[in-house]
Amino acid sequence: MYDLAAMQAALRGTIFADQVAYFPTIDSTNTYALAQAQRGAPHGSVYLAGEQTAGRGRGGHQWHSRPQDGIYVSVLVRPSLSSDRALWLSLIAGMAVKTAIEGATALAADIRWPNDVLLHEKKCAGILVESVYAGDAMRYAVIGIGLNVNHESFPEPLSHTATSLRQETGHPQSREVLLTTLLHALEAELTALAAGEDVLERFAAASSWVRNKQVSVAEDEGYTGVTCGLNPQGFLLVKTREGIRTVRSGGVRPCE
Amino acid sequence: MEANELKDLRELVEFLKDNKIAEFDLERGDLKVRIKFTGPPAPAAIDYTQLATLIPQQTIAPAPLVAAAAPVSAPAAEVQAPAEAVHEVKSPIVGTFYESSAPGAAPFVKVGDQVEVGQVLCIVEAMKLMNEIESDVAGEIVRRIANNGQPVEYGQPLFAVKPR
Repeated sequence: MYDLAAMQAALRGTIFADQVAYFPTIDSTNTYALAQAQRGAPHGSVYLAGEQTAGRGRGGHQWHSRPQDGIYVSVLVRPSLSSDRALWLSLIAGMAVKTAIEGATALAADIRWPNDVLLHEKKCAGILVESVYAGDAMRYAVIGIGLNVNHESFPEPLSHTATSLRQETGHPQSREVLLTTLLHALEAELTALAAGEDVLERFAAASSWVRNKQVSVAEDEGYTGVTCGLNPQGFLLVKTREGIRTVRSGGVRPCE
Repeated sequence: MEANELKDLRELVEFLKDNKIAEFDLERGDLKVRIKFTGPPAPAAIDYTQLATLIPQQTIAPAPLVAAAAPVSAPAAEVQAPAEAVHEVKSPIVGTFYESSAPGAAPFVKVGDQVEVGQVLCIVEAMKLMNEIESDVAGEIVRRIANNGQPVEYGQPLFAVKPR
Protein backbone atom coordinates (compact mmCIF):
# COMPACT_ATOMS: atom_id res chain seq x y z
CA MET A 1 0.00 0.00 0.00
CA TYR A 2 1.21 3.49 -0.81
CA ASP A 3 1.42 6.22 1.81
CA LEU A 4 -0.77 8.53 -0.23
CA ALA A 5 -0.79 11.40 2.29
CA ALA A 6 3.01 11.56 2.32
CA MET A 7 3.03 11.48 -1.45
CA GLN A 8 0.47 14.24 -1.81
CA ALA A 9 2.56 16.37 0.56
CA ALA A 10 5.70 15.72 -1.49
CA LEU A 11 3.90 16.77 -4.67
CA ARG A 12 2.67 20.11 -3.33
CA GLY A 13 3.56 22.88 -5.72
CA THR A 14 3.78 20.60 -8.75
CA ILE A 15 1.25 20.20 -11.58
CA PHE A 16 0.37 16.85 -9.99
CA ALA A 17 -0.68 18.29 -6.59
CA ASP A 18 -4.02 16.85 -5.44
CA GLN A 19 -4.38 15.07 -8.77
CA VAL A 20 -3.32 11.53 -7.83
CA ALA A 21 -6.05 8.89 -8.04
CA TYR A 22 -5.11 5.52 -6.54
CA PHE A 23 -6.63 2.15 -7.44
CA PRO A 24 -5.71 -0.97 -5.44
CA THR A 25 -6.41 -2.96 -8.59
CA ILE A 26 -7.27 -1.89 -12.13
CA ASP A 27 -7.15 -3.44 -15.60
CA SER A 28 -4.73 -0.87 -17.06
CA THR A 29 -3.88 2.62 -15.82
CA ASN A 30 -3.37 3.78 -19.43
CA THR A 31 -6.80 2.54 -20.53
CA TYR A 32 -8.40 4.31 -17.58
CA ALA A 33 -6.41 7.51 -18.13
CA LEU A 34 -7.38 7.61 -21.83
CA ALA A 35 -11.05 7.27 -20.91
CA GLN A 36 -10.73 10.06 -18.33
CA ALA A 37 -8.91 12.25 -20.86
CA GLN A 38 -11.79 11.80 -23.29
CA ARG A 39 -14.11 13.02 -20.53
CA GLY A 40 -12.02 16.15 -20.01
CA ALA A 41 -9.70 15.25 -17.11
CA PRO A 42 -7.12 18.02 -16.62
CA HIS A 43 -3.42 18.26 -17.47
CA GLY A 44 -1.37 16.64 -14.71
CA SER A 45 -3.89 13.97 -13.71
CA VAL A 46 -2.12 10.91 -12.27
CA TYR A 47 -3.60 7.41 -12.17
CA LEU A 48 -1.73 5.04 -9.88
CA ALA A 49 -2.43 1.36 -9.30
CA GLY A 50 -1.29 -1.20 -6.76
CA GLU A 51 -1.86 -3.91 -9.33
CA GLN A 52 -2.78 -4.07 -13.02
CA THR A 53 -4.69 -7.10 -14.26
CA ALA A 54 -4.17 -6.22 -17.93
CA GLY A 55 -1.11 -3.96 -18.01
CA ARG A 56 -0.31 -3.08 -21.59
CA GLY A 57 2.85 -2.56 -23.58
CA ARG A 58 3.49 -1.69 -27.19
CA GLY A 59 1.76 -3.65 -29.94
CA GLY A 60 -0.47 -5.75 -27.69
CA HIS A 61 2.35 -6.87 -25.38
CA GLN A 62 1.55 -7.26 -21.70
CA TRP A 63 3.33 -5.64 -18.78
CA HIS A 64 4.00 -7.95 -15.83
CA SER A 65 2.34 -6.00 -12.98
CA ARG A 66 2.63 -8.02 -9.78
CA PRO A 67 0.65 -6.53 -6.87
CA GLN A 68 2.55 -3.92 -4.83
CA ASP A 69 5.98 -4.80 -6.25
CA GLY A 70 6.10 -2.18 -8.96
CA ILE A 71 5.00 1.33 -9.75
CA TYR A 72 2.19 1.27 -12.30
CA VAL A 73 1.27 4.81 -13.14
CA SER A 74 -0.20 6.85 -16.00
CA VAL A 75 0.08 10.60 -16.31
CA LEU A 76 -2.23 12.67 -18.50
CA VAL A 77 -0.69 15.70 -20.18
CA ARG A 78 -2.21 18.26 -22.50
CA PRO A 79 0.91 19.91 -23.90
CA SER A 80 1.04 22.79 -26.36
CA LEU A 81 3.74 21.41 -28.62
CA SER A 82 4.38 21.29 -32.33
CA SER A 83 3.64 17.84 -33.73
CA ASP A 84 7.34 16.93 -34.11
CA ARG A 85 8.34 18.05 -30.61
CA ALA A 86 5.29 16.28 -29.17
CA LEU A 87 6.93 12.98 -30.14
CA TRP A 88 9.72 13.73 -27.70
CA LEU A 89 7.30 13.03 -24.86
CA SER A 90 8.41 9.48 -25.52
CA LEU A 91 12.07 10.40 -24.96
CA ILE A 92 11.61 12.64 -21.92
CA ALA A 93 9.54 9.98 -20.13
CA GLY A 94 12.53 7.62 -20.21
CA MET A 95 14.88 10.38 -19.09
CA ALA A 96 12.58 11.18 -16.13
CA VAL A 97 12.60 7.51 -15.06
CA LYS A 98 16.41 7.42 -15.29
CA THR A 99 16.65 10.60 -13.19
CA ALA A 100 14.30 9.12 -10.59
CA ILE A 101 16.23 5.85 -10.29
CA GLU A 102 19.55 7.66 -10.02
CA GLY A 103 18.11 10.15 -7.52
CA ALA A 104 16.58 7.53 -5.26
CA THR A 105 19.29 4.84 -5.47
CA ALA A 106 23.02 4.67 -6.20
CA LEU A 107 22.37 2.86 -9.50
CA ALA A 108 23.31 4.14 -12.95
CA ALA A 109 20.53 3.60 -15.49
CA ASP A 110 20.82 3.44 -19.26
CA ILE A 111 18.14 4.22 -21.87
CA ARG A 112 17.62 2.07 -24.94
CA TRP A 113 16.05 4.24 -27.64
CA PRO A 114 13.40 5.40 -27.43
CA ASN A 115 12.57 4.75 -23.78
CA ASP A 116 13.40 1.34 -22.32
CA VAL A 117 15.18 1.97 -19.02
CA LEU A 118 17.92 -0.58 -18.32
CA LEU A 119 20.03 -1.60 -15.36
CA HIS A 120 23.00 -3.76 -16.27
CA GLU A 121 21.42 -4.34 -19.68
CA LYS A 122 18.17 -5.68 -18.24
CA LYS A 123 14.92 -3.77 -18.47
CA CYS A 124 13.57 -2.30 -15.23
CA ALA A 125 11.02 0.10 -16.68
CA GLY A 126 8.76 0.17 -19.68
CA ILE A 127 6.93 3.16 -21.06
CA LEU A 128 3.85 3.29 -23.26
CA VAL A 129 2.83 6.73 -24.46
CA GLU A 130 -0.55 6.94 -26.14
CA SER A 131 -1.78 10.18 -27.63
CA VAL A 132 -4.67 11.51 -29.61
CA TYR A 133 -4.32 13.83 -32.60
CA ALA A 134 -7.01 15.88 -34.23
CA GLY A 135 -5.72 17.42 -37.43
CA ASP A 136 -2.17 18.60 -36.79
CA ALA A 137 -2.47 19.05 -33.05
CA MET A 138 -1.90 16.61 -30.22
CA ARG A 139 -4.96 16.94 -27.99
CA TYR A 140 -3.50 14.98 -25.12
CA ALA A 141 -1.10 12.19 -24.26
CA VAL A 142 -1.08 9.52 -21.60
CA ILE A 143 2.38 8.56 -20.40
CA GLY A 144 2.21 5.08 -18.91
CA ILE A 145 5.15 3.94 -16.83
CA GLY A 146 5.78 0.52 -15.34
CA LEU A 147 8.78 0.47 -13.00
CA ASN A 148 9.98 -2.77 -11.42
CA VAL A 149 10.82 -1.84 -7.82
CA ASN A 150 10.58 -4.64 -5.28
CA HIS A 151 10.28 -7.78 -7.38
CA GLU A 152 12.48 -10.48 -5.84
CA SER A 153 12.44 -12.46 -9.06
CA PHE A 154 10.71 -12.73 -12.42
CA PRO A 155 9.14 -15.79 -13.99
CA GLU A 156 10.76 -17.43 -17.04
CA PRO A 157 11.44 -16.20 -19.67
CA LEU A 158 11.18 -12.64 -18.31
CA SER A 159 14.00 -13.29 -15.83
CA HIS A 160 16.54 -13.15 -18.68
CA THR A 161 15.55 -9.65 -19.76
CA ALA A 162 13.87 -8.03 -16.75
CA THR A 163 15.21 -6.78 -13.43
CA SER A 164 14.03 -4.73 -10.45
CA LEU A 165 15.63 -2.08 -8.29
CA ARG A 166 15.57 -4.54 -5.40
CA GLN A 167 17.45 -7.14 -7.41
CA GLU A 168 20.05 -4.60 -8.48
CA THR A 169 20.58 -2.91 -5.09
CA GLY A 170 19.96 -5.93 -2.85
CA HIS A 171 17.39 -3.98 -0.81
CA PRO A 172 13.71 -3.13 -1.00
CA GLN A 173 13.13 0.44 -2.14
CA SER A 174 10.46 2.98 -1.24
CA ARG A 175 7.89 3.29 -4.00
CA GLU A 176 6.68 6.62 -2.57
CA VAL A 177 10.17 8.14 -2.80
CA LEU A 178 10.66 6.79 -6.32
CA LEU A 179 7.28 7.93 -7.55
CA THR A 180 7.52 11.45 -6.15
CA THR A 181 11.08 11.78 -7.49
CA LEU A 182 9.81 10.51 -10.84
CA LEU A 183 6.93 13.01 -10.99
CA HIS A 184 9.22 15.91 -10.06
CA ALA A 185 11.63 14.82 -12.81
CA LEU A 186 8.78 14.47 -15.29
CA GLU A 187 7.53 17.97 -14.56
CA ALA A 188 11.05 19.36 -15.10
CA GLU A 189 11.27 17.49 -18.42
CA LEU A 190 7.85 18.74 -19.56
CA THR A 191 8.88 22.30 -18.72
CA ALA A 192 12.14 21.93 -20.66
CA LEU A 193 10.30 20.46 -23.64
CA ALA A 194 7.73 23.27 -23.67
CA ALA A 195 10.53 25.87 -23.35
CA GLY A 196 12.14 24.58 -26.55
CA GLU A 197 15.27 23.16 -24.95
CA ASP A 198 17.45 20.75 -26.91
CA VAL A 199 16.11 17.45 -25.63
CA LEU A 200 18.02 15.38 -28.20
CA GLU A 201 21.46 16.40 -27.03
CA ARG A 202 20.63 15.44 -23.45
CA PHE A 203 19.07 12.20 -24.62
CA ALA A 204 22.16 11.28 -26.61
CA ALA A 205 24.27 11.92 -23.51
CA ALA A 206 21.95 9.81 -21.32
CA SER A 207 21.79 6.77 -23.62
CA SER A 208 24.63 4.44 -24.57
CA TRP A 209 22.46 3.17 -27.43
CA VAL A 210 22.54 6.28 -29.59
CA ARG A 211 25.99 5.60 -31.03
CA ASN A 212 28.25 2.66 -31.81
CA LYS A 213 25.87 -0.05 -30.67
CA GLN A 214 25.49 -3.19 -32.77
CA VAL A 215 21.72 -3.66 -32.98
CA SER A 216 19.00 -5.59 -34.70
CA VAL A 217 15.87 -3.64 -35.59
CA ALA A 218 12.47 -5.30 -35.63
CA GLU A 219 10.94 -3.04 -38.24
CA ASP A 220 9.95 -3.50 -41.88
CA GLU A 221 11.67 -6.75 -42.91
CA GLY A 222 14.06 -6.56 -39.90
CA TYR A 223 17.70 -5.56 -40.24
CA THR A 224 20.96 -5.13 -38.34
CA GLY A 225 23.57 -2.40 -38.14
CA VAL A 226 25.42 0.00 -35.89
CA THR A 227 23.68 2.99 -34.31
CA CYS A 228 25.04 6.33 -35.51
CA GLY A 229 23.13 9.11 -33.77
CA LEU A 230 19.72 10.73 -33.94
CA ASN A 231 18.26 12.65 -36.85
CA PRO A 232 16.92 16.19 -36.23
CA GLN A 233 13.47 14.76 -35.42
CA GLY A 234 14.93 12.43 -32.78
CA PHE A 235 14.67 9.19 -34.75
CA LEU A 236 17.50 6.71 -34.29
CA LEU A 237 19.89 6.24 -37.21
CA VAL A 238 21.43 2.85 -37.95
CA LYS A 239 24.29 2.33 -40.35
CA THR A 240 23.69 -0.83 -42.37
CA ARG A 241 25.53 -2.39 -45.30
CA GLU A 242 23.02 -0.77 -47.65
CA GLY A 243 23.32 2.67 -46.09
CA ILE A 244 21.91 4.62 -43.16
CA ARG A 245 18.39 3.70 -42.13
CA THR A 246 16.01 5.55 -39.81
CA VAL A 247 14.25 3.60 -37.07
CA ARG A 248 10.71 4.90 -36.84
CA SER A 249 9.46 2.97 -33.86
CA GLY A 250 10.56 -0.64 -33.92
CA GLY A 251 12.21 -2.33 -31.00
CA VAL A 252 16.01 -2.16 -31.00
CA ARG A 253 17.86 -5.08 -29.50
CA PRO A 254 21.52 -5.91 -28.98
CA CYS A 255 23.05 -7.99 -31.71
CA GLU A 256 26.29 -9.95 -31.48
CA MET B 1 -18.81 3.25 -67.95
CA GLU B 2 -21.15 5.80 -66.48
CA ALA B 3 -20.19 9.45 -66.40
CA ASN B 4 -20.09 9.65 -62.61
CA GLU B 5 -17.92 6.52 -62.38
CA LEU B 6 -15.50 7.99 -64.86
CA LYS B 7 -15.44 11.22 -62.90
CA ASP B 8 -14.62 9.25 -59.75
CA LEU B 9 -11.86 7.46 -61.60
CA ARG B 10 -10.34 10.69 -62.87
CA GLU B 11 -10.49 12.12 -59.41
CA LEU B 12 -8.80 9.03 -58.04
CA VAL B 13 -5.98 9.20 -60.58
CA GLU B 14 -5.40 12.89 -59.87
CA PHE B 15 -5.40 12.16 -56.18
CA LEU B 16 -2.84 9.35 -56.54
CA LYS B 17 -0.63 11.51 -58.73
CA ASP B 18 -0.81 14.50 -56.41
CA ASN B 19 0.25 12.35 -53.53
CA LYS B 20 2.93 10.48 -55.48
CA ILE B 21 1.37 7.10 -54.79
CA ALA B 22 3.00 4.59 -57.09
CA GLU B 23 0.46 1.78 -56.95
CA PHE B 24 -3.18 1.45 -56.06
CA ASP B 25 -5.51 -1.54 -55.88
CA LEU B 26 -9.22 -1.48 -55.28
CA GLU B 27 -11.59 -4.41 -55.10
CA ARG B 28 -15.22 -3.89 -54.39
CA GLY B 29 -17.54 -6.69 -55.42
CA ASP B 30 -17.05 -7.21 -59.14
CA LEU B 31 -15.17 -3.96 -59.55
CA LYS B 32 -11.41 -4.26 -59.73
CA VAL B 33 -9.13 -1.29 -60.33
CA ARG B 34 -5.35 -1.44 -60.48
CA ILE B 35 -3.35 1.69 -61.12
CA LYS B 36 0.42 1.70 -61.39
CA PHE B 37 2.61 4.65 -62.25
CA THR B 38 5.98 3.92 -63.75
CA GLY B 39 8.63 6.58 -63.26
CA PRO B 40 7.55 10.16 -62.58
CA PRO B 41 3.81 10.39 -63.22
CA ALA B 42 3.41 11.80 -66.72
CA PRO B 43 -0.14 13.05 -67.24
CA ALA B 44 -0.35 12.12 -70.90
CA ALA B 45 0.66 8.54 -70.19
CA ILE B 46 -2.45 7.78 -68.17
CA ASP B 47 -4.78 5.69 -70.26
CA TYR B 48 -8.24 5.87 -68.82
CA THR B 49 -9.67 3.56 -71.44
CA GLN B 50 -7.32 0.83 -70.30
CA LEU B 51 -8.40 1.33 -66.72
CA ALA B 52 -11.98 1.07 -67.78
CA THR B 53 -11.42 -2.27 -69.50
CA LEU B 54 -10.24 -3.73 -66.20
CA ILE B 55 -13.73 -3.28 -64.88
CA PRO B 56 -15.91 -6.33 -65.66
CA GLN B 57 -18.48 -5.65 -68.36
CA GLN B 58 -21.46 -6.82 -66.33
CA THR B 59 -21.07 -3.92 -63.92
CA ILE B 60 -21.03 -1.24 -66.60
CA ALA B 61 -22.99 -0.63 -69.77
CA PRO B 62 -20.63 -1.03 -72.75
CA ALA B 63 -22.00 1.89 -74.80
CA PRO B 64 -21.17 4.72 -72.35
CA LEU B 65 -17.70 3.22 -71.96
CA VAL B 66 -16.87 3.98 -75.57
CA ALA B 67 -18.57 7.35 -75.43
CA ALA B 68 -16.75 8.35 -72.28
CA ALA B 69 -13.34 7.26 -73.51
CA ALA B 70 -12.97 10.11 -75.98
CA PRO B 71 -12.92 13.15 -73.69
CA VAL B 72 -10.39 11.66 -71.30
CA SER B 73 -7.79 10.98 -73.98
CA ALA B 74 -6.92 14.69 -73.55
CA PRO B 75 -3.99 15.37 -71.19
CA ALA B 76 -5.02 14.70 -67.61
CA ALA B 77 -3.76 18.13 -66.57
CA GLU B 78 -6.95 19.52 -68.05
CA VAL B 79 -9.08 17.29 -65.88
CA GLN B 80 -10.48 19.40 -63.09
CA ALA B 81 -11.06 17.20 -60.07
CA PRO B 82 -13.52 18.87 -57.71
CA ALA B 83 -11.44 19.57 -54.58
CA GLU B 84 -14.42 19.64 -52.23
CA ALA B 85 -15.57 16.13 -53.07
CA VAL B 86 -13.29 14.26 -50.64
CA HIS B 87 -11.48 15.32 -47.52
CA GLU B 88 -8.10 13.81 -46.79
CA VAL B 89 -7.13 12.94 -43.25
CA LYS B 90 -3.38 13.39 -43.19
CA SER B 91 -0.66 12.09 -40.92
CA PRO B 92 0.43 14.73 -38.40
CA ILE B 93 3.78 12.98 -37.92
CA VAL B 94 6.34 10.62 -39.45
CA GLY B 95 5.73 7.06 -38.33
CA THR B 96 4.27 3.63 -38.99
CA PHE B 97 0.60 3.28 -39.99
CA TYR B 98 -1.61 0.76 -38.17
CA GLU B 99 -5.23 0.12 -39.04
CA SER B 100 -6.02 -1.52 -35.68
CA SER B 101 -5.17 -1.09 -32.01
CA ALA B 102 -3.11 -4.30 -31.81
CA PRO B 103 -1.91 -7.00 -34.22
CA GLY B 104 -4.87 -9.19 -35.16
CA ALA B 105 -7.48 -6.79 -33.81
CA ALA B 106 -10.28 -5.53 -36.05
CA PRO B 107 -9.49 -2.34 -38.01
CA PHE B 108 -10.77 0.91 -36.52
CA VAL B 109 -12.62 1.65 -39.78
CA LYS B 110 -13.26 0.12 -43.22
CA VAL B 111 -14.02 1.65 -46.59
CA GLY B 112 -17.75 2.40 -46.65
CA ASP B 113 -18.00 3.13 -42.91
CA GLN B 114 -19.70 6.29 -41.73
CA VAL B 115 -17.46 8.14 -39.26
CA GLU B 116 -18.04 11.01 -36.89
CA VAL B 117 -15.78 13.92 -35.95
CA GLY B 118 -13.41 12.66 -33.25
CA GLN B 119 -13.73 9.00 -34.23
CA VAL B 120 -10.39 7.16 -34.25
CA LEU B 121 -9.40 6.09 -37.77
CA CYS B 122 -5.96 4.58 -37.22
CA ILE B 123 -2.73 4.72 -35.25
CA VAL B 124 0.52 6.23 -36.43
CA GLU B 125 3.36 5.03 -34.24
CA ALA B 126 6.61 6.91 -33.86
CA MET B 127 9.26 6.40 -31.17
CA LYS B 128 6.90 3.92 -29.52
CA LEU B 129 4.41 6.72 -29.12
CA MET B 130 1.05 5.39 -30.25
CA ASN B 131 -0.83 8.28 -31.84
CA GLU B 132 -4.50 7.75 -32.43
CA ILE B 133 -5.61 9.80 -35.40
CA GLU B 134 -9.14 11.16 -35.19
CA SER B 135 -11.31 12.11 -38.11
CA ASP B 136 -11.74 15.85 -38.40
CA VAL B 137 -14.86 15.51 -40.54
CA ALA B 138 -18.06 13.45 -40.44
CA GLY B 139 -18.71 11.35 -43.51
CA GLU B 140 -18.01 8.15 -45.37
CA ILE B 141 -14.60 6.53 -45.64
CA VAL B 142 -14.09 6.23 -49.39
CA ARG B 143 -10.45 5.20 -49.45
CA ARG B 144 -7.76 4.00 -47.13
CA ILE B 145 -4.55 5.22 -48.65
CA ALA B 146 -1.87 3.83 -46.35
CA ASN B 147 -1.30 0.12 -45.77
CA ASN B 148 -0.99 -1.60 -42.42
CA GLY B 149 2.60 -1.49 -41.13
CA GLN B 150 3.70 0.92 -43.85
CA PRO B 151 5.86 3.99 -43.15
CA VAL B 152 4.08 7.30 -43.54
CA GLU B 153 5.46 10.80 -43.87
CA TYR B 154 4.34 14.03 -42.28
CA GLY B 155 1.33 15.33 -44.21
CA GLN B 156 0.77 12.08 -46.11
CA PRO B 157 -2.92 11.32 -46.69
CA LEU B 158 -4.17 8.32 -44.70
CA PHE B 159 -7.87 8.26 -45.53
CA ALA B 160 -10.20 9.96 -47.94
CA VAL B 161 -13.51 10.87 -46.32
CA LYS B 162 -16.53 12.04 -48.28
CA PRO B 163 -18.09 14.65 -45.99
CA ARG B 164 -21.83 14.53 -45.46
